Amino acid sequence: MEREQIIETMPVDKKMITHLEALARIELTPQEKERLALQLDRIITYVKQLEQIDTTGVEPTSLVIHENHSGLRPDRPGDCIERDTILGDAPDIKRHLFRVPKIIER
Amino acid sequence: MTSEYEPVIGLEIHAQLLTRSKMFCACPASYGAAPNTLVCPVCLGLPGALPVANETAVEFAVTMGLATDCTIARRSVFARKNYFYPDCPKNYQITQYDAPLCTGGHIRIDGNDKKIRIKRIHLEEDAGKLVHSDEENSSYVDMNRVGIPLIEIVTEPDLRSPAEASLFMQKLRAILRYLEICDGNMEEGSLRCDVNVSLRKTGTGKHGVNTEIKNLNSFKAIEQALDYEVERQKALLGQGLAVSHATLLWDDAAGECRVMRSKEEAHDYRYFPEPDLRVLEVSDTLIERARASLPELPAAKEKRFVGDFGIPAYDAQLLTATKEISDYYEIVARESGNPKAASNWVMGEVLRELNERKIEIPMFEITPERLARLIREVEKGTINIPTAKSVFKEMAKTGHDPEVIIAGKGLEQIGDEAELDEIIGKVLDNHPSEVAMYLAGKVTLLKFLVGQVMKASKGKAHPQKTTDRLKTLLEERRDD
Amino acid sequence: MGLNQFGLSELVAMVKKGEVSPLDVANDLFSAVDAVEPKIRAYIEFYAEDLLDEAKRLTNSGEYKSTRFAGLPIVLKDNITVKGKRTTCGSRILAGYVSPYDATVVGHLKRDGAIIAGKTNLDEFGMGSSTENSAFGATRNPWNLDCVPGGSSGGSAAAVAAQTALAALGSDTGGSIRQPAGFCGVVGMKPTYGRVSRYGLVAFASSLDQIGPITRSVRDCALVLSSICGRDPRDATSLQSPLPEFEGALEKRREKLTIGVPWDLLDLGMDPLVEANFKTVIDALERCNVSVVDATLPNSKHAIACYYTIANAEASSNLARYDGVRYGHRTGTYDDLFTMYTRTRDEGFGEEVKRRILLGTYVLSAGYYDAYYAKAQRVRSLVIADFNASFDRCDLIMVPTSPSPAFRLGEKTDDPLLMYLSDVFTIPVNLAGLPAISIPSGVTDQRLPMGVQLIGRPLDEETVLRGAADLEKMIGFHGGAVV
Repeated sequence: MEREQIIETMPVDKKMITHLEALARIELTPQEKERLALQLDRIITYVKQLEQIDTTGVEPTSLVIHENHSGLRPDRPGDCIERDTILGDAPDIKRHLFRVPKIIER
Repeated sequence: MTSEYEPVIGLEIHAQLLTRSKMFCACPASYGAAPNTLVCPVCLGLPGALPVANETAVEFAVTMGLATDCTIARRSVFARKNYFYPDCPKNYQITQYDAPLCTGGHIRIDGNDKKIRIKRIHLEEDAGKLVHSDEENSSYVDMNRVGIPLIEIVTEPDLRSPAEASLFMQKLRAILRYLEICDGNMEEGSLRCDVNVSLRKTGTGKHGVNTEIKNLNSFKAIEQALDYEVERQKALLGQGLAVSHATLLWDDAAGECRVMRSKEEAHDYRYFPEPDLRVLEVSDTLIERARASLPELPAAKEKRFVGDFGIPAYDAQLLTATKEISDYYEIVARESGNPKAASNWVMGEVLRELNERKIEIPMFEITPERLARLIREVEKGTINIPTAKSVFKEMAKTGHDPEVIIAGKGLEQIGDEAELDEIIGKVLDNHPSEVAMYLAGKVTLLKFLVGQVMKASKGKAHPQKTTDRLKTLLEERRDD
Repeated sequence: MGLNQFGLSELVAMVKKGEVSPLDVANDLFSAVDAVEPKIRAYIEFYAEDLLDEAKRLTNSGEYKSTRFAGLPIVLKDNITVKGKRTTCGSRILAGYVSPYDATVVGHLKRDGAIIAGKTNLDEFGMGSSTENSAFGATRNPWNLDCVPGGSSGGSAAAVAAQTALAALGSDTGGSIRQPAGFCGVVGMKPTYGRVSRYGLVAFASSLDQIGPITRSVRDCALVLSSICGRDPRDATSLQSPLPEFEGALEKRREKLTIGVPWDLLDLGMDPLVEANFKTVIDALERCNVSVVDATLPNSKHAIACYYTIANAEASSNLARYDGVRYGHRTGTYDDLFTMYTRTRDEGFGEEVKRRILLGTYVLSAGYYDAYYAKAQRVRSLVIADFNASFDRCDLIMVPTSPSPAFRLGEKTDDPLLMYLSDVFTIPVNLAGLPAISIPSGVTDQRLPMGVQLIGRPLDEETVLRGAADLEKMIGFHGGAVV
């Protein structure tokens, strides 16, 4: 079932940017925020042209695979990577564990 | 007294699948390894690594779907659930969202009288393990568990009491274990359960505001936490207060629920189809293979035990709680030729021994064939029940055959008349006054005399024959 | 004249005949890099020592003679992983990260006797069309140092054009191989989605990304392609369809080709120089016994809007893993987990990447998903359907690679949307997962190259290569710039 909907004119203002920043875990400086709000608003206004296209009865495509085959893997264990190699790339480790600031419950 | 309110309970269960490798990579899906040793670029979310779904995990999920009468979707879709958390290396979890693998099934409880609907079963990957340290103001992550395949089973809110929820969970666990797709260990977290509970006026269809309880790692915890929360909600409503939505954490030690987060946080998981994976197409072959692999499930087996072996429904339910026990019982019942005795032995001595020693059937020294032979020795009259129990202990300790123990210790019952008569004669000679009183009419002394014969025979005298011979020999002395 | 001025297949032939050795080639390439690289800055890292050591070893042992690449060097865009080497993706956020594994394509190249000689510059995580968005600075166009080489595989295209690489791999999400190939006057090909394994290609937009060769000739392109294609069990989207004989396709004489030109797409506008050049190519084709027919791709005018929705949605999720927990940059000051994440990502990502992550987050967020993401997926289906319909009437579709030749550095950096619009002719191909090649079609009077693009049916790289080889011969332009 297709849910056609007309997007309310919702400017990408600084408030929206703040919300997106939190979701995407990105912190912008005030100047960046100012500039990005304008740019995103312009881009999204452009993207809104999609609204006008009639897609009634059209199935969405998320992947274009030109053949039929399951792409599944047999359940066969293989090799892991040496722990020292993995931990060698890590910014902060202790007792062979990755360390992060203490998590206050989710 | 009926309560004004009734609980409306739904469960969300995560079961780790017993595949050899992880859900989307070839790392071994095993436990207890040193931290961060069972990892690879895929499960660690290294740049450039890609997931490939494990066919056996798909098959296991389909099996569970078939076992619970779900509809299996020929085409289902993996989706990304986006959230930042250090135990989730990619900061998204690969799961299924609006097109799950299995939908619309059910499990029956209460002797098959009540149907609890299964809303959906889908596949996903597990997260890593976090350890928090207050002193160091840090949390630590071990990624070994990342990517272990999970099925998430979501019920409809069909459960109406904490006990029912616990019972359902036991049934579900039994099915998972019968299918051999999950070890069902709740304490170690290979089977996890979150519950949703709200109250509604009895008999109405309107649900109240619900709360969610997490961290329930035993059947007891499920029941206790729900009891606690139902009472709390009742008290609130009783005072005319509203229940507010919250996520609660069950504290097993304190026996109470603590608030984990009060309001529904602005969760926005931004689900979308996982572009690294194809649509999950389940072939007829796979479904047929899964169907063919379905063992007899607990409900069917329970029914069959009652019918075939003539044991009570209660016994049958206990004996089918796990596949191991039911298989064990079935062999004992068939080979001993006495299903009722087999049921008594298995529910009594066997379960006691396993519980005391905290071991499972496969580790148990007394094979079902051996136990059946022990029962046959009792049937044949070679030994009596008390002796059989001590032979059982000896078998458990040594792993020897019952016949060897009986013969080695000379435990065979004395059933030979001449031999018995000789022992009885001596006992009667040694207790002249009791004999006299018996003959004078105090027949209750017979029991005492049987006991004396038993003692004299070191417990080997055949109880029935002893009683019979005693009576005869006592009568013979009446005329003396 | 340095051996680096020869194309890859010529050199392979020379080496196999024993006329020159892998070490001779390595030495000349090394000298060229030494001389030219300061002006172009195509490389993030050139593995000079590895190249010379390995070339010496192979030359001494003679092991190279039976392999496809005969011990000659190939370079990679730095979003393709090599075991034990840094993979930066042109980003600060991957500072210090060393990959513990080889990408599948790297395994193929090594198996076929290539020496991996370096990593080339790119727009951060492939996000850009100019190779200006790199933490390592901008790469210059060898034809004109004031111009961009295109992007995001600008380093690969510039190195091949400047003859500081014989052949390179790039990755193409919305034109990132073809557009820089066009800007630098070299050949660049994006195979059918799934032909080349993406395992070890750092994801930008998973449903669109595809690795492909950037070379100086169609023949070289076919040579590299035949090494890197094939089913990979580590990539669920990789195809198991049988592989054609790519090099053989160039010789194959078949019936006359029909090439379709989608005028409706071209009507969206292009530089008059590009238009004139494109028409010249059409005229020449018609003289060469190729029938040119009209094609139509009516929905492709929405492809950019569709693409920036889908690609950024996927990117916002793909780039979530860069969080300072397991590898790469972590901010120096933080009080809690949240600020550790946000500062790490703020410091680590460049502005274009942040812009796209926020855009992608927006189109997936609650309340907007259906209007943007789901809608774009449906429009994607329409774009695909247009191609299918067109291929009923022609074997290949031809469009210019870009609406303009290379632009000047800084010209479009302040206007992201303008930058996005320059991908108008390449983006529809990624949405449809089709194979397409860009080959040089001429040079402007300002001495800037232009490219023409041939788009094929799904899995029909053979016809694309054959058409490109014919066109290449006809145009008589061979890649390479004099710096």
